[in-house]
Amino acid sequence: MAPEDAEAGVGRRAGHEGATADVSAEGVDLTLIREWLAKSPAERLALADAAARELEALRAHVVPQPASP
Amino acid sequence: MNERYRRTLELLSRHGVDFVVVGGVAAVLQGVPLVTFDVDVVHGRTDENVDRLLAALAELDARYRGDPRGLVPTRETLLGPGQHLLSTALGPLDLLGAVAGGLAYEDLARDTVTLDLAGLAVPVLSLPRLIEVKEAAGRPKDLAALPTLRATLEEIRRTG
Repeated sequence: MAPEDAEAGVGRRAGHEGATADVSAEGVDLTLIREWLAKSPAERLALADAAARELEALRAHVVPQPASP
Repeated sequence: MNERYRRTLELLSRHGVDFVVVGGVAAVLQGVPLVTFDVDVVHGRTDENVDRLLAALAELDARYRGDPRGLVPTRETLLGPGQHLLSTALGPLDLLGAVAGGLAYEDLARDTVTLDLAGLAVPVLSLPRLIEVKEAAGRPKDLAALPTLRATLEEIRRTG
């Protein structure tokens, strides 16, 4: 994200030409934030819990790879 | 086992523990789209409250994370300002006697919002204060989360 594009409401998501997204001054996707704000606290907590569980499960299946020479 | 975070908070409430939710769960509850792997709470450090907390911890089978001896927190240590990184039957739980700048439960309690988790009232450090605390803490993981916290706060203020 180029700094000049990083103003709220005028950003363009990097890597998706033609697709636009609102981003904050610090480059944060406001679309996702708005989706979360539309949910209840209980829904947000349940989603965060489920996401953490998925990541923990993925991490448990990660097989360390030998370092490349 | 579902809704670990909610059940942890429910258990603390059921035991009458005075606490404030801080950290990633506090952010999530207020609309910040983050993934967090533990519940962070600042607990009141009065004798009575620590006794209630110990009863809750016993029910959670809370032990210090990564300690092969399976040590459990004691009354004396919970009365102090230190941090207790615990593993429980419901997942990781971090008990904080104080946060950045030495702020204790009494300092944070006036900056809490009470959120309704489907019938469970949970005291949560307000988003503006949470941002201040993370800025003061200054750890890399706090700094990394700050843009998303600030953007969420701006969006809340913008939409009223």
